Amino acid sequence: METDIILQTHKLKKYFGQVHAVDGVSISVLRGQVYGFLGPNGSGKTTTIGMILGLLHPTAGSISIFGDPVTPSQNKPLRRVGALVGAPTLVPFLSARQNLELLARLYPGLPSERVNEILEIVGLYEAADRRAGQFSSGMKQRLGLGMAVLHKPELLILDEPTNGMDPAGMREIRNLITSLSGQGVTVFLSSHLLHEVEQICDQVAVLKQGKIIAEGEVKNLLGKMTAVRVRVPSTSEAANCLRTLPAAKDVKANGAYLMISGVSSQEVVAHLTANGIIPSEVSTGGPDLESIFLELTESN
Amino acid sequence: MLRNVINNEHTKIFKRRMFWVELSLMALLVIGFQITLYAVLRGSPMPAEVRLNLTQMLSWPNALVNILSYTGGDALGGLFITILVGAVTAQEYTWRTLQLWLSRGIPRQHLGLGKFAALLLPAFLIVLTAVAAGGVITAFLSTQVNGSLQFEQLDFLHLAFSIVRTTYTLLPYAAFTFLLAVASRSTVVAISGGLAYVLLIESILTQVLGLFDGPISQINRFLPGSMAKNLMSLNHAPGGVVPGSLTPMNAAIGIGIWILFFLGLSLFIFRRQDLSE
Repeated sequence: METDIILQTHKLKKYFGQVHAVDGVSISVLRGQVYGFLGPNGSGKTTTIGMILGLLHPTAGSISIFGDPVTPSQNKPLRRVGALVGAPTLVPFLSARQNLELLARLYPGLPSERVNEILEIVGLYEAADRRAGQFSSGMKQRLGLGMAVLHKPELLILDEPTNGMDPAGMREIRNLITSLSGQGVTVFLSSHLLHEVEQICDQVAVLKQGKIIAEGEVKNLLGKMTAVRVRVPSTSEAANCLRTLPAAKDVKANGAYLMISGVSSQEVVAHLTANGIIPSEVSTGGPDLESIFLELTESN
Repeated sequence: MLRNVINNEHTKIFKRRMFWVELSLMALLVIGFQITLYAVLRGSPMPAEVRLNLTQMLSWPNALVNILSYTGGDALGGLFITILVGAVTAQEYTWRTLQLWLSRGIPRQHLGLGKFAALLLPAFLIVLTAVAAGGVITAFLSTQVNGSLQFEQLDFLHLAFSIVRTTYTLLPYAAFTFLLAVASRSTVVAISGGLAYVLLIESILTQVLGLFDGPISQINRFLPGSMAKNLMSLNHAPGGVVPGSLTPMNAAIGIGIWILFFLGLSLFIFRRQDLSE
């Protein structure tokens, strides 16, 4: 059954003995979305992706892709999925072209010129006949990405796709993802490069210790965390004063500045001046995704 | 899909330098062995009966069938197929290419079965190479020993069946190494375990079991090596079976059971495996 939910996990769990690598992850990725899947090392991202790709047996829970269930013994929906997980998986003694041709054989309807097209797209046309095992890590990553998009997948799952790439390569990958998304491809992206994620993702989920601790549209997540920034003569005195404001969620000192969330700038200024503290600068702004990520993952 | 998997496996095997090195080694060893026999025949004084035996071993058509006796599962063929299967199967765990195929929606059973099925052709080529190389050298040596090549005595159909039978005796060793590779995910464990079985364990087992009387000693008859010998007895003289051993037909069935057992267990393990980073 076709659905607008392209990828869905429901209370997905994976336990390795006493270690709960993934603990009840439920996510829904809609058609055409670029979905960011974030979390610190060891948070369970790659394990979740492994289960989505039918490589790991879930301890509990379910996965569906294009509305059909996916398990290690029931992986037919993955025919329409492209993936690059971690370091690319290549046959090292075959050339880049031969690696692509090998994969192309699994998709009988694929036009023969597609291999050359992919070599052009990922910038490996000149190196096409070199052994993949001799490639630099950036070139391997490009080839891995080429293999992921070879059969024009409807869902692309990428885990750290820019690993080992130089800044120009990273920008190319970002542009490629944006372009694929523009063509209607749904992208599920796990990356540590939060600036990139912020730029290209519509929706993100943050994973910590196997659990989703935040999920939502990037703009909403950023909006929720908008803070008022004030410069005051004494941050400790002003912080104590602002903590008496019932709506103030978080008051943090940063040098000569205080960051306050949960209240408006007018409320902050009015409260401070009422208590005899005159701020010399006031501004409001949202933190970037990196700050939110660190805030979420470093707190208890 | 299974056909595409087998095609891909063939590409990977035939693009490996190691496979061609194995075939070359097999050819060189067979040629070297025949030349050594010829040198012994020419250079050393020996009783007439031994001389006759040696002459027959070097002369067509016996020479071709004789070559098959050391390309079987319990001989050189077993060594080469074990090394090949260990490498082509376990290295895919190291390279994580199994993950690549599976994440593209290839059913695990197809991948496992396809990988094993693709080994039939290389196993056949190992035997064929030995026969081809041995055939060329013994054709030359036959003319040296007998003054002519007894081409008309060669039964091509019998030779073809003998090659197929010999290839079949390689398969339990291939399946055993395949099982070791899948269970251990290690090239070293798969190859060393497989070689240990071919070179040591089976012959020790045969000797130890031979020390017992009754049903325990009968286990010997059902080991792959013993059954391979029974089956390959057809290569030499049709119907010439050692008394007390299995008939070639029963040996063929027994070998088939070993293959299915090892392969079935491999696929069972493969189906249940977690394949992560």
